[in-house]
Formats: sequence, C-alpha cells, structure tokens
Amino acid sequence: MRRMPSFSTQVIIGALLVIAIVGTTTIWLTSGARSAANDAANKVTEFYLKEFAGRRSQMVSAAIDEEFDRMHRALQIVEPRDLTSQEALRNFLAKVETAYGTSKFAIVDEDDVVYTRYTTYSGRSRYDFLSGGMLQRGEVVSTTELYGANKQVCLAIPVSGLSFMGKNLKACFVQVDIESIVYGLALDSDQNTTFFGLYYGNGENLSELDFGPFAADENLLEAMRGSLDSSAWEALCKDFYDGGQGGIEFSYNGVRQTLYYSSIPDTNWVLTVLVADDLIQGQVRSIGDEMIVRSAIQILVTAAALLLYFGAIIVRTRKTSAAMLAVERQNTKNAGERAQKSERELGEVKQIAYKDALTGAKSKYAYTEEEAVIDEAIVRGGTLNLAVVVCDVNGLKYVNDTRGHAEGDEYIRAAYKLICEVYANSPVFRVGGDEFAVLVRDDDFEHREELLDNLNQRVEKNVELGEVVVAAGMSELEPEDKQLYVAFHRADQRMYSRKAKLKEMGAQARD
Amino acid sequence: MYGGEKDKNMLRGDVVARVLVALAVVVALLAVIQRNGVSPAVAGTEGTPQDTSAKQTASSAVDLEHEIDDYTPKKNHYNFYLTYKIVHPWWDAVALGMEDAQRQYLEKGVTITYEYLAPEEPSAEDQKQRLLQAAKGPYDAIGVDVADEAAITPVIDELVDGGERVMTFSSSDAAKGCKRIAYVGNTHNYEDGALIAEALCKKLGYKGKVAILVGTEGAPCHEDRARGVQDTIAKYENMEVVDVAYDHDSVNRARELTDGFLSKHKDLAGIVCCNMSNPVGAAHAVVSAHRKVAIVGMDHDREALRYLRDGVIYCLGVQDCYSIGFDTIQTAVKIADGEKPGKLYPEAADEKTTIVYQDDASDMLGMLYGELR
Repeated sequence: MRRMPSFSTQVIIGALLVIAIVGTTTIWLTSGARSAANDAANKVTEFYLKEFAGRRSQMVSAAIDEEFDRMHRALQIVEPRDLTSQEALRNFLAKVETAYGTSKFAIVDEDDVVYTRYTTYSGRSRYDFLSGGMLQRGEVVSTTELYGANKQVCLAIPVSGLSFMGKNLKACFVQVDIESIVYGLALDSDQNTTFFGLYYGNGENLSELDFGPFAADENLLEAMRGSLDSSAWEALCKDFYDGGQGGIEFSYNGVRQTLYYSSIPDTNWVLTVLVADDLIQGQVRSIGDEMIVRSAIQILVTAAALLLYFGAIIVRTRKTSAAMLAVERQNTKNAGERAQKSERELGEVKQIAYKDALTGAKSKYAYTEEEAVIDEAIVRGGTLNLAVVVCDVNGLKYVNDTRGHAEGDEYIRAAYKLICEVYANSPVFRVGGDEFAVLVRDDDFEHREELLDNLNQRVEKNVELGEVVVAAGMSELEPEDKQLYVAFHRADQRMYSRKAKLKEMGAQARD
Repeated sequence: MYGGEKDKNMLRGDVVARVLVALAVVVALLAVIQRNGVSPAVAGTEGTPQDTSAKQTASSAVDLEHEIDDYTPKKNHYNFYLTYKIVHPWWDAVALGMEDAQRQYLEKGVTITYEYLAPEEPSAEDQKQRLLQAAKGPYDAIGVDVADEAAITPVIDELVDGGERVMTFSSSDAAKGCKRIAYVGNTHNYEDGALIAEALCKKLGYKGKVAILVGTEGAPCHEDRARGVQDTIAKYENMEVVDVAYDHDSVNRARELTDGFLSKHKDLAGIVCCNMSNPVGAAHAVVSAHRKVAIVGMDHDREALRYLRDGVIYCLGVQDCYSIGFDTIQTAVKIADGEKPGKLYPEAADEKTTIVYQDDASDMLGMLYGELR
C-alpha cells in the first residue's frame, strides 16, 4: 500500500505550488506588459521621428528659401553708387550682411572674380557652381569641399543687368553656416539622445558635426552597411538617392538605433534624425526590469511569508500534537491510577462486603456472589462435586437475653470458630444473624460425612458442657438441582431436623 | 521598415557586444604596437627618415590650426593686394589660410580687406601689369607670388623704390638682391626637387630613363625644383634624363606631354613632376597607357593623393599651403605697419614640405578632403 506523505511534506509541496503559480503568472504578466510597452514605444518613436523629420525638413527648406529671398531683396536694393568702387561695393555687401543677417554675401563678375565684404578673389577654381552652366538653371544649392576637409554650402542665384568696374555681374551667393542649421534642428543634442544631421544623397555628411555614433567624416550609408541586410541597405541607399523618406531600425556598435530620413526639397540633401532606442526602449526596459524586480521581490516575499506561515503551521501542529499526546498519556496514566485505586477501593469494599465484621467469616454478600457463580456453572451443565452445610447457632437469644449482647456476639464467634475448625478447608459464610453456610468442595466434599459427624459430635459434647451448640444439616448438589438454593433448602430442612434432635438432647432452643 | 526583431536578446547582445569591443581594443592595441614597430620611413622637410605613423605624417604635413601672434597692429584697418601665378586650387588652399587670419584679426577688432587675384594662364606680363596697377591703389602692402623672377624682380624693386611695401609669398620668391621686404613660402624648392628625385632613383634601383615635367617656365619654384631633380639624377651614372617639358600648370597639358614621353620612350622608368598639375596629368596618362612608370611629384591635389593611395604615384612633396596663407597675412600686417624683418617676422619664412608615401595617402585625403579611409 502506498504510503501517504507526511503532513509537513504536504504543506511544503502546497506552499511551493502556490509560489510557482504566483511567480509564473507574475512573470508572464510582466513580460507581456513589457512587450506591449516596447511595441507602444516603437510606435511612438516612429510617430515622433516622422514628425521631427518632416517638420525639420520643412525648416531647412524654409531656411534655404529665406536665404534666396534675401539675395533677391539685396539685388533689388543695390544702387549704381554701390557699384562705383571696390570700397563702395564692400560697404554695400556689409550693409546687406548686416540687414539680412546673411553669413557671407558675395557677388561674382563675369570673370568669376568673387567680391565679398572683406576680400576679392578668383572663385573659378573654388566654386563648382560658377562653371558648367549651373546658374542657367536659376537658384543653385551647391557644396564646396575645401582644402582641410571643410565644406562650404553656397546658395547662388544668377544676376543680370548689373556691372562693376566694367565687367558684368554674373551671380551672387551666400555661404550657409550648415552647422548652425544642424544645431538649430537639434532640440537636445547636448543630451546625446536625439540627433539631427544633414547628408547628401550619397551619404556624405553635409556638416562637420558628428551624427550620433557616426563621425562627421563618415559616409552614413557606408557606415550603416554592416548594420543592415543587403536589401534593407539598398532600399535605404535608393531612398537617399531618390529623395525619399522613411525609417529604419538597426543596431550600431551594439546599440539599437532608429533612423528616420526625409529629403529636403530642391536640394540633394537628406535630413536625418537618429534616436538611440535606449532612450525610449531603455526607459521601457528599465520600467520592465523594475517591474520584474518588484515582481521577484513580491514572489520572494510571498514565498517567504508562505513558508513562514506553513512552517508556523507545521511547528504549531507538531507542538499541539505533542501536547495532546502528553495530555493523552497523562490522562491514560491518571485513568490507570484511578482504575487501580478504584479497583483497590473496590477490593477493599468487596473485602468489607465479603467479610462479616463480627466473626471474620465470609458475608452473606460473598455467599450470594458465589451462589451466582455456581448457578451459572449449573446452567452451563457442569457437574459439580459440591455440598452445602447449613448451621444454626442454638440458644443465641437466650444468651443475649441472659448474658447480654456482647456475650451473644462472643457466642456467635465461638460457633464460627467451631465450624471453621471442622471445615478448615472450606469457605464459611455468615448468611444470617445466627446462621452459617459452608460450601464443601474437593477433599472436604470427599470427607463430608465424616466432617459432619465430627461437627455433630463436638456439638453434642458442648451440649453436655453447656458450651456453644450448632445445629447442622448437609445436602449435596444433585444433578437435577437447577440452582444452589435447592440444595441449600434441603440442607436447611436437615438442619432443622438436627436442631430438633439437639433440643431433645438438652440443648437450649430459641424459644 | 519598422517592426523588426524584438530586443529580447538585448541583454545577451550587450554582453556579446562588450566582449567584442574589448577584443577589438586588444586587437587595435596589438595592431598599433606592430605598426609602430615597422612604420615605413617617411621623409620630412630635410628628407630624413622619421619613425612616425602615417597619421602623424599627414597631420604634420599641413597645420590647419593657427592663431595669430601677440603682435598688436598699429591700425584697425588694412587693405592688401595679393597676386599669384595662376588661378589654381593650390592657391585656393593658400587663400583659406589667409581667410582664417583675416577672421582672427577681425575678432580682435582689426579689419583686413584684400584682393587675391591671378590670371587664368601664367603670365609674367599679366603679373607685372597687376603689380603696377596695385601700386596706384589704396593698399597698405602688396604681395606677389613671383611668376618669373627675371621679369618680376625689377618691377618689385621699382615699386619699393616708389614707396610701396612689397612682399613675396607662396611658392616663389624674387631673385636674390630683390628689394622686396620679406618672403613667406617655400624656401627650399631646389631641395624639394632633389628629395623627390632621390626617392625615385632609389625606387628604380638607381638606374633607368626618367622624364621631367615642370610647370611654368621662369617660375622660380618650378625651375628650382627642376634643377634639384636634374642635379640629383645626374649623380647616378645609370640614370638618364631623357625629356623635360613644361605644362604651364595645366593638367591636360601634363597628360599630353606624358603621352608623348610614353610613346617616345618605350623603356621610360620614371617621371618627376615639379608642380601640382604635373603628377595628376602624368598619372592619368600612365594609367591609360597601362604602363608601369614610377611617378614622383609635388603638392596635395586630391586626384594626385588618390593616385598615391592607389600606388600609381610613388611619393608627393606636400607643401603647407594653409600656413603659407596664414603667415602671409600676419607678415603683411607688420610690413604695412612699417616693421622691418627681424624679431617680429623673418626676412624669409621657411614653410615646410613633407614627402608623403602610399601609406600616408588615405590620411591625407581624410584630413584635407574629408574622404573616407
């Protein structure tokens, strides 16, 4: 038969099951919440990046348009006196720069000589937009890479109808401070979280500013090549080249990044926004981690509480069981003692009940119990070798009346002594005030007649001596006797017969 | 393109990334140690081998970080006229140094204006006319990169005698004895020519036929270099100069001349180029002809550096144009203030030339043109 686990084992298993269920469900819920938060963060990131890129792209485009507008307005206010000398022209250029806040406003003549506020120099070998008929298309956005890896972004427009020092003016242009534009785009570039950049369609950085993890002199597309699969990278390149827009997630130097890009209208520039996913997802992750830590603490606390609780239950149960066992043992011990006492007391009572106080003979109560035992044996069909001798003390009333009850008691004791001396091996019962009964068994039964004769002889002698006289009648228990009483009754009848004889012999009768 | 893989393995990815970064650092350190131990010899201005890395060579070849000295100008406005041999990117690099100095003076409250002009074709006569015209203008000082010392030195002397403050700058000084006040530029063109020629001779095992491309006839810097080249090659009996030609600072002309060299001398072993346009044109022609001809040359042209990176050109002598331009303006201010050469500025400022080789090319391209390494 399979043995049942102990109570403590059951409690521990129950506690572990509860902990496992709580822990599993908590982790499952936390993981689900974290995943959902990540998804939400992705969507929020995408939304805001689109917004960022779109709005910043418009800002750059608007800034470019504003610069073109300034140049057109500058050309509208130039007067003939501004073109009379080098000094006059420089003053005009200074006035334009001050009035419109342009960083460097320049006019170019037909020989590609560039006139600025401070310098006059040949621009033919320096500015691509001055050659190749680029200005014939109207407004030009051009970038010049200078010695020393510097870049100058120039916005140029053609000029007509003006001349300076005998030469027709060909164009005017401003140099755009691209770094200030990029700085202007960034909301929190100093926090290294969200980065803005301006790139050419071929991936080269327009500015000299780092773009997040990408160094200023890195080609963005080339730098990202290793972070994307070939199809994603080619799609990104196509978007850059074709002036598209979109977003892409990638991992760079082990950090998850999200890039969103949007082309700037009328340029081959691409505005880029980069957010380290650690910014958003890191927050989400930290919240998730915090939740997991809290859940773990909760699980541990719950587990500890449950273990303590169930441990306490086990300890308390064990203590209670031990106490109950001790009480039970004590009760058992007490009950035993009480039983022994009762038995002893009962024995004492029985001794009292079984023994006649006057003579020391067995009492009438003892005879009754013995009679019941014998009757039960008769009922069971046993053959008993048993005889009943009924004895009656003659002349007791006379003694009491003449010599007092004390003498009467002594007379009874003398009768008892006589009977006992004759029936030394058989129990003698005082069954009445002056009446004794002897149950004769074993050897006494074998010599019952002799014994009765002996008693009668001694009594007859006492009659002569005036000493105690006892009339006795005996009867054997016959097989037809259903009860001992029947034999007793026959013996009692025979005793009365003897009593009559003794009276005749001179013994004192009752009356 | 959103909705890519989740970052459930982010933590493990972070650990892997950190391990990889650590490995990369170790590998990089080993690489640096190994590289420093076997760095190729690089010639400095004196042509002595230097045990330094390519990046150090590149950064020392051109100094883009300048600050004007603590001299206090006597005026708050100066106006200069500066003319040079030809409109060419080399002088655009010089212009950037000038513009940097001009900005720094402006930040100190000193306004400097200047004209920095040159003809489309090298012409001593054009330069002479420019100088004479400048003498009539409101200029505090005049600077000239001498196109032809024989033709221009007398003009300079005439202007100085007329009270003009004239200096020379860039790559070519006037003839000895000229009255110009100071010169800022390359003072060792002969040595530069000798250095690149020596490098070629060594490369060729001191034997073979060599052609020489020069820039403008009469331009001191070009002629001095050509002389340095000739003298060096003449030292080796198994080497022979088979041709000399002037491209007049035109890349196309340099290519045409090289094509001629290649067809005329089937066993041509090397070409020495004495100016900026020479090596570009020569490399074009050699590559087109699929010939193996060693090319050495001058200056920092972007295409020339690419050919150097690709092994078509063996070495280039790079002059520090930026410093030349910056120091020219500083010196011009002092000259305009009437200061004489001496403690404030030298009579001839020696701007350095660095010989760069293939290993240096990528760093030079990155530093000067922002090209990816």
